[in-house]
This record gives sequence, C-alpha cells and structure tokens, in this order.
Amino acid sequence: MHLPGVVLNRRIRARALAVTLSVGAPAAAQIGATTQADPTPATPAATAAPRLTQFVQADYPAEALAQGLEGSVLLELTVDPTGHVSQVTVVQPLGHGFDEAATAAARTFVFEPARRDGVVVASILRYRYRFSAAAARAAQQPQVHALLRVTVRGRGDQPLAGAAVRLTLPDGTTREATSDERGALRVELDSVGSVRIALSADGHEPMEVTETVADREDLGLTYRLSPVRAAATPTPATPGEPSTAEPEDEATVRARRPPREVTRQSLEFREILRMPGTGGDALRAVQNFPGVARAINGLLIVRGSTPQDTQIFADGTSIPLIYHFGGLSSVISTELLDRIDFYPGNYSARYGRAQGGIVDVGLRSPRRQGYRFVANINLIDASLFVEGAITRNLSFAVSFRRSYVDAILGAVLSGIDAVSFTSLPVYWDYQGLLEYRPSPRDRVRLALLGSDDSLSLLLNRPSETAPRFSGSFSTGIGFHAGQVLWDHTFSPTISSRAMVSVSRNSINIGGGEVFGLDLNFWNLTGRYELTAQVNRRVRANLGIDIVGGPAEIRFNGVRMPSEGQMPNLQNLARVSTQSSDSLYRPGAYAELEITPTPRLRLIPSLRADYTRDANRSWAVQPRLSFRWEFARDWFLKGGVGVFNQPPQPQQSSGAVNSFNPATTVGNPFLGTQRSVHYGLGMEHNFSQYLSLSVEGFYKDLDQQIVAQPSIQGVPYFNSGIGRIYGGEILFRHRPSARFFGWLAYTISRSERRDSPESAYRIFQFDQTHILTLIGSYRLGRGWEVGLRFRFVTGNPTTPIIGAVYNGDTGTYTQIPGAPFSSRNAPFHQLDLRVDKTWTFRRGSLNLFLEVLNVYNNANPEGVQYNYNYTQSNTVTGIPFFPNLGVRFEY
Amino acid sequence: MSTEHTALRALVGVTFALALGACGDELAPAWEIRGFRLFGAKIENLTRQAADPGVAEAAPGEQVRLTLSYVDPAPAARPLNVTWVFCAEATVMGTTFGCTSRGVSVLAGATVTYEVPRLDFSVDPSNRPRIQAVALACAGGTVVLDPATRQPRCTGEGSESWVMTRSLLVRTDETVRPNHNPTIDRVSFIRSGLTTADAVTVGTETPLRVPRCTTDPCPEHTLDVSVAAGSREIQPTFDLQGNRVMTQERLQFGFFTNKGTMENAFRVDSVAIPDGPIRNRWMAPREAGTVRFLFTAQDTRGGFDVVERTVVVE
Repeated sequence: MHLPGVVLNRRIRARALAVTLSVGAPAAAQIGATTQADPTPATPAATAAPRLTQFVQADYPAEALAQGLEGSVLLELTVDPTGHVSQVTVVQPLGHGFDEAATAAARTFVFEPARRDGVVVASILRYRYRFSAAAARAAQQPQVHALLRVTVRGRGDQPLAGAAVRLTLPDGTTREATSDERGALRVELDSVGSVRIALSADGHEPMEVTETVADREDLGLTYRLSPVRAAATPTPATPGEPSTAEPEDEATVRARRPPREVTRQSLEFREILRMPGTGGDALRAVQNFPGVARAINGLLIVRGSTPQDTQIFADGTSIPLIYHFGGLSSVISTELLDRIDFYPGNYSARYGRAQGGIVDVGLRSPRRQGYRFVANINLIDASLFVEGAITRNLSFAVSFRRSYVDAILGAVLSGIDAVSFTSLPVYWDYQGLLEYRPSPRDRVRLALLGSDDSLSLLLNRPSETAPRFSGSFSTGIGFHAGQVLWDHTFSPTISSRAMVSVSRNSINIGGGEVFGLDLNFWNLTGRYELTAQVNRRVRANLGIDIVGGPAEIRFNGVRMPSEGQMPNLQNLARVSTQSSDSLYRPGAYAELEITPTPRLRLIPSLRADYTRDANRSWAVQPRLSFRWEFARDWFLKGGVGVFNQPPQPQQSSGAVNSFNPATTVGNPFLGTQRSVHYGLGMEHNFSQYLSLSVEGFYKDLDQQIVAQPSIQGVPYFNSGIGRIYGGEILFRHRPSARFFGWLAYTISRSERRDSPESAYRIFQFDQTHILTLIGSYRLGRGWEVGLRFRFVTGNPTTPIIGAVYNGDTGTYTQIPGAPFSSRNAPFHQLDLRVDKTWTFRRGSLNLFLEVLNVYNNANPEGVQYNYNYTQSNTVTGIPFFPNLGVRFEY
Repeated sequence: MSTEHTALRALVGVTFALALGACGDELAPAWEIRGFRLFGAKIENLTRQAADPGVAEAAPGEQVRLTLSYVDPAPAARPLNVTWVFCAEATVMGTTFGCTSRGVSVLAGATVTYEVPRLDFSVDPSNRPRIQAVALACAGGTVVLDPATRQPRCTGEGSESWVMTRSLLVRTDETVRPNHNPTIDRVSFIRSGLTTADAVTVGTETPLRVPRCTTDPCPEHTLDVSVAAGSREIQPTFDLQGNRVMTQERLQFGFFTNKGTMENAFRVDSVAIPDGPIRNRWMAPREAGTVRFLFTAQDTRGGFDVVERTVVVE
C-alpha cells in the first residue's frame, strides 16, 4: 500500500523551506528537484499565475560589491494584463543601493500575464531579487550556470551532422556551435533564462525556438528539422514526453532529470515559521500532517506504529531522538535545515532496519558569501545561529540552543516539598558545519551535532504505589556525532554521495534502588550511494550502508511486562547486567527509477540487510512504487514493499542476568520483525493553490517481538502479529499573498495479536481519528494571525479492574483488564499565533505570541489511581499556555 | 540504534509521571485508614523459634505461623473470615506463574500454622524456591466458592474483603544465614516546635495525650520509629558483574492512621544514612478523640513487623 511522505525542503537558492508529500518516494532526488516552472506552456487552468518570460539582470552596486556585501531584496510587483510591471514596492529592503538596483531591474521584467478562466488579468506577486557578490565577480570570467545538450535530427529521424545552432542568451550575447556526426552538440551557458535557439542545416527548413533554462539545469533537447520539401507545420510534443511525431515534423523533446519522489507538494518556509502551535520549529510542524498521530512524550507515532519503528536520521546518521523533553522543541535548529524527508511508509530501499516511518533531516549548505546572524528567544529556550564564508570555497555555520525550563520549573516547584531538584531539567543542542568545495564537482562537509537532555531530582516522599522507587531520580539522554559527507559528480549522468559518521549516544536513567540504566554506545555508520542516469528513461541508485559499533549496557531493574501493563517497580524479582556487546548490521540496496512515459514513473527496488544480533539473519526486501498522471492534474499513486526491523539490543541480548545467573537478559535467538506496506491514493490539483490528496494504506505485520514471560525461560518472542489500515486526506491551500492552510484527516485502526492463537486487540498507539485544521492570514503591515485546531481520538488505555494486596512489598498489585480496551476522552485543542514583523535595512525583527490551548480544554493524558486502585482521576495535559518570542535576523 | 532510545524515553516519561504522581492529593492517601484493610502477614518459624527466634523462612518439614495484620474500623464489631491457600510457586526467570498443583493446602483463620511440604523445589533451580500463600480476608461476611468461576469470594451484606499474596522463602541451603523479621522496638512522638531531646515514647499501656489542632495551618508533630539492633541484616546479593556481594538491607516503613494528616505513608531507609532515624510528620485532627496508629517495617525477603499505638487527642 502506498504511504505518503512529507518532505521539508529548504532550497539553498530560494531559501524556501518546502514540505513535500510524497508517495513511496526515495529521497535523494528531492534534494535536486527544481522549483523552476515548466517552460512549456500548459493548458490554462482556472487560475494561472504570471510567469516571468524576460528577466533583467540588475546592476550590482559597486560599493557593495567592493565590500563583499550581498543579500536579497523582497519586492512586490504589480503585473498588468499586458505582462509588464506597472508598480514595484520594496517589501524587505537591503540597503546599500540594492533596493534601487532591484527596483530598476524589476520594472523591466516581462511576464506572461496571469489568467483567470482563460482571461488575462492584472496580478500582484512577490519576487525576491538576490544579489550574489561572488556571482557578480565571477561574471567577469566565464562560469557555467547550465548545460544545454542539443541533438538535431533530420530526414528519417537520423542524426543531422553539421547543423548550425545559434543561441541568443538573455544578456543579448550569442553563441554558435555545430552538431557532430551524432547530431549532438553541447553548450555550457554562463547565464540562464530565456534562450533563443536558431537551427539550420542544408536541405532542411530552418527552425527557431525559445527555451527557458534554469540555473544549474542539465537540459537535453532534441529538435527534428523538416526536409525542405515537406514544409509541414511544427507540432510540439507533449511536454516531457518522447515525440511520437513523424520524422518530417518538427518537434522538441525536453528531457529534464526527473525527481525521485513520486508526489510532491511544497510547504514554504513562511508556513513553517508561522504555523500555530509549533513555535516556528520545522520538525514539530511534521506532526500536523496526515499519518502522524499526536505525539506522546515527544515520541513520533506514525500510522499506528510504535515510536521505536520510526527511524530518525541526520543526513544518514542515526540520531536517538528528534525532540527535547516531551516535544518542547526539536534537537536540530530550523535555520540549518535543508529538507526533512518524512515517510510514513513505502519508503525507498535506501532506508532499512525500520518497519514504521522514516524521518531524514538534511542539513543545508552554509552561505558562501557574507555572514548571517539569527537570534531566537522565547519563554522556553533561546538560540543563536551564525553562518558565513571563510574563503571563497570554505563556509561555516554554527548554532546553539539552551532551554530555560530549569528556571521556570524551579519557580513552579519551589513550593512543592515532595520533590526537590538536584539538577533542574535542561536541554541544549548544537550544530556546526564546515563545508569545502574544492571543485565544482565536489562538496565535502564536516558536521558536528550534539544534544543533551538531563534532569536530576530527589523524591522526598516515597511513592504510595512503589515506595522503594524513592530517593534520587535522574535521567539523561544525549548524543554527539561527527560526520563527513562527500558529494562527487563523476559526469553529468553519474554522481555519488559518501558518508562516514561516528556518534556516541548515551542514556542514563536512575530511579532509587529499583531502577538503573546506563547505556553508552559508539555508533559507526558508513553509507555510499552511486547514482547513474542509465538512459533517458532509467535512472539507477545503488548503495550500501553499514551500522555497527561497541555498546556498553548496565541495567538494574525489572523486566518489562507484556504490552498494556505497567512495570511493577516493587517486583522483588530483578534483572541486572553489565555487559559489553557490539552490533554489526551491513546492508545494500539497488533502486531503479523508470519513466516509460512522462506520465508514469515506476520505482522498483531491492534491499538486503544482515543483522548479526538477530540470529545472524538476512532480510531481503523487495519494494515497488508508482505514480501515474492519468489525466491532467489527476494522479494515481501506489506502492507495496517489505520492511524488516531488527530487535532492540536488550531484546536480543544474551548477557547473563546477574540476579539470576542461569538466565539471560533477552532472547539471543530473536529474528527481525517484518511488515508489508500497501498503499494506493489519488491526487488532484484544483488550481495553483488548491489541492486534494486521498490515500489508503494497509500494513501487514508479523514476527513482531512481544514481551511475554514464559516457562521457556526467555522473555521475548517473535510471535506478534499486527495489522494497521486506514485512510488519509489532505485538502490544502498553498500560500498565496494572504493565506495558507490545510485540513488533514486520518482515520486508521492499529491492531495486534500477541500470538497466532490470540484474538486481535487494539494496539497501544492506535488513534482512530486525527483531524488538523490550520489557517494563517496576513493582515498587512507585518501582521499575521494563524489558528490551529486539532481533534484526536483519545489514547487507548488498559483499565484497572481490581487489585490484590502484596504482603511482600506492602503495596497493591493492580489487576489489569483487557489490554487497551478503553480510551481516554478525545483530545481537542485550539492554538493561536500572532506575528508582527518589522523589516529594517539590514535585517528583520519578528515578534510572536503563541497561545496553546486557547480555550483551556482539560485534555486527558492518562489516569492516576490511588494506592489501592479503588479511586482514580484523570491526568490532564498542557493548560492554557502563552509563549512570547522574538526572532531577529541580520 | 534509535529504537531502544525511544522506548527508554517512554519509560522515562512513565517513571517521571509515576514520581510526580506522589504529589497527588485528590485521591485517598495510603496512610489513611478508612475501611477494612490489610497490612501484611508476619511469618515466624516455629520449628526454630527456640534456637533462633524471628526467622521468617523455613525449610521443608518445618512449621511456620502466619499472623494476618489488619484493621477493620467498622463501627460495630464484625467477624473476620480468612481463607488461606498455600502452594509451591512456579517461578521462571523471576516471574511467578502462580501455583503449581503440588503441596496445595487450604487453611482458615487470621492466624494459621503451616508446615512446608517436603517437595523437590527444583522447579527453577536458579531461583529461591517459594511457597505462595493467598489469603482471602472477608470482614463481616463468609467465604464461599463461586460455582461459576470456581474462585472463593466474600459474600454478605456490607461485607468488605481483600485478597493478599504472601511469599514464604523455602530454605534449601543451610549455609546461608536465614532471614529474620525486623523488630520495631520504639515509637517516639516529638511535639511541634520541640527537639529530639524532648521525644516521648508512645507506649502501649498508657495512651499519649496530644492537643487537637486549633490553628491554621495545624502544627506538625514528628513520629519517630526505630528498630532493634540487627533488624537491618546483611544479605547476599549479586552486583552488576554477577559477583555475590553482601549488602545491608534497606527497610521500608509504613505509617498509617485513622485521623489527622500524615505527611506520607512510607519511608525507606536512606542509602546515605542506612541506620538513620525514620521520621514522619503528623498533624492532629481538629476534633478530640482516640487516634489509632499502625507502624510497619519490612525487608525485601519476607521479613515483617507491625506495631499499633493509640493517641488521645484532647
């Protein structure tokens, strides 16, 4: 079944953070996807935006160039029905003469005017004019911006040698070339935009066309010239489709490199920053899309799977967490994000060892000219971000964030004598990037990432349900990772990415005398992917990735109970171990992107994983996804695939239990868990702004690991079976000048069986209905207001139907009812965000007020029982909470 | 490797919530004796009583006495019927799977004498073998066997009942020193504003007289429980490396009352000061009357003691 993914993509050039919903989509090509409009005019839709047809280069202010100053000017252009710019307003000035230069250039732009119902109309649009000092300097010497590969064919569709081609570039200069014996010629362009191409050859009718070439585009064009005698009328082929015209016709075939994702919708940076309830945090914005359940304890729940089933990567390096304490903020600065690939299912074969979802965070390249500084301060944390160029080929970016939760909580809890904090909860994270481009074909990047969440407290009063769970309580989770990434382009059709990383992850949890865990391990990761454009219709991705490293575990506690039961911390039977182990998990994959017709894309792939710690097993996982545009703006998409996930180290550990040396901590004979994903969906773009996506999905799970104490003497088995099915709807209004918003709805059911003999029951992370409504409106004068409303079915709970007094511990032991046979009341919450932005000559200041839970709904998050389980009350979530923040960019 | 991390983060959330759950004050607190309630059962080895008093475990063939500790605050005295079921416990890897069919005994009474059967207790040689005792205590009613469930239950109008589980460690290795019950030897009362030097022993003969609360907030008095020397025994256990080490027991104390306000129901020996005083704070009620206190002490191997004291609030 086919599972839509979400890709947040912050383009380096456009500085727009794009969110892409994709189906069965490999990720890499999303990075290379371009936002350039299709140059071939399409059939007019109900509403069509203006399209720039004549770009004029602005004069770079000389003094600014001398000082190396650069940046962008945000303009608001009024385009009249003739396509000319009638008015230019500077929305976000830059100063130093940039504003005047940009305004002057923009006044001479020519557009294909906007249309409504086929009738040309006036329109207003925003245009960001960028000034690059390096580009301006480089303009003095030839520099390749795009590559044009032209093939000329003549009679009988044979290659036409000696054809003369003359190109008139946007700056008015001309270039001439002649086709070789294969009818081919190659022209490197140092400017982009509209290019006039005139072709002529003996015995053939001359031809003259205009093409739009995008920056860094590798554009293949095939022209067929008619013999002089034929004199036929030119018939352009359907854009992007191989020509089926007769050889005597003139035709153009455009062969753009296809993106690897099957579906894409974009969410701009503005949407991320202004989305109510997320604090401008891109990773938190992910939670508002279909397929993502409301996070519990900051854990990402994707399509009814456990949080453990979703893997999180930073450019291929696994990181142990995505959010700080309970989801307060994400562990990577939004300023550094290039993209977020989020796949709830049916993802590429480049991802393995996960049977749920994938979150792959891509870090962007630091700016290569000038410097940029961003400060972000709100009531919860503060962060600083700086980036800039060290030399022409060397650039850097650093970011640091620290919370003030300690100060706030310290004040709140100062009057409570049951708990005293010896170390108040604090989180912090950092990222550092150093990027070097030794040649146009190479990019080498060193990244340092780290995060730490910690607290330590003293429970002055023993718990009434677990008195020995008293004394000091501490928790710490952190990671520090170093990563080297090397992108290399062998040729226009072959490229590679190599990544090596070393990370040290640690978890430390202490709970009185009854629980203690120290888990420290080094994670060594190696990835290599080779991408080759085999021919016009086939693209291949081959890769290997290896994960391994030593791990040290110290554990002292009780066994985890069966699902739906709470661990009994007063249990006198204990599990304890101190062991060292190592993981070795190599994998390899192959993937093809086949485009038999421009409207159909097939992505078959195969992945194989070896897991030494899963009984030395191999898992071969075939996958297939497709996307078919069966009518204009109507898409059918789907996929099916096998996904295996190895056991967690403690589940497969053969380490001896110190408290009971005849037993082991886990079951060393466990195999990998497996799920088969099926998905089918449809998309339709109603207009430039409005779109609708409907998906259905089904996950078939088997070999699931269940905790089930048994007389066989091992606590874990691969006996679990599960199924998850449902549907998702996304009705979306992309950002217009004033408004953006969407309605996302998911209906699903997640069920499990602990053994083939048992009946299906509701799974712990089942959330039947998930509704998210988001809308944000620009009021003008820098004011913007947004609302988010969420309605989510209450989380399943296991009722307590009684209790037995345990005379050995002096406490009561709960008697659980059927696992997850009841639910909390539904969750619903309204969040509000108000922004006011002031724009200055060199920067901007944004002040925002974000109010969570505007109407102060007491959302149930759990049930609290008294000491003997005869009374209970509901534990509610976050109440009305206003958060005030400032974002300053310079 | 992120999978185990997310699982553990969930555990952190659970444990933190559990920890903060101790702050809850809307639910009936554990220290408050409202209805019929059990506090434990003291196990005394009768066979070794003369030579080694206070042993809380037994070898096959030895007799033990189990004394149920309970409070029934019902205004009118009512009978208590207790039915005990004993059996050899099936335990694998520290997890109990209930009774085996071997050595099953059924006894009745708040205090019973039980002889450990001479069985081969090698169900799981890696564990200390145990006898599991399950008591159904029925206050104001009678115990009947439910024909539908074949489980005993308490019937009778207005009756209250609780089921209690209790383990009896079976000795199979005489080279290991047996575990003994701790002994609460003194309960002291320190009035609000006074010091330890002014502590008054709360005796069993003459009730201590305490003024009722007339201020807001009520003054907090201190209750100090001490145990006899040797109550905190040295026990064998394993360290994280699997080495057998000897450590001192940490006792858990319970403080229960029917009137006034206790700070908390439990105290556990401090790791830093293992032999330190066990103190709790109590506020007298605003009404005069007799107040019952129960103090318990227990280790993790079945050792248990309970004392009751009475205070008159004037």
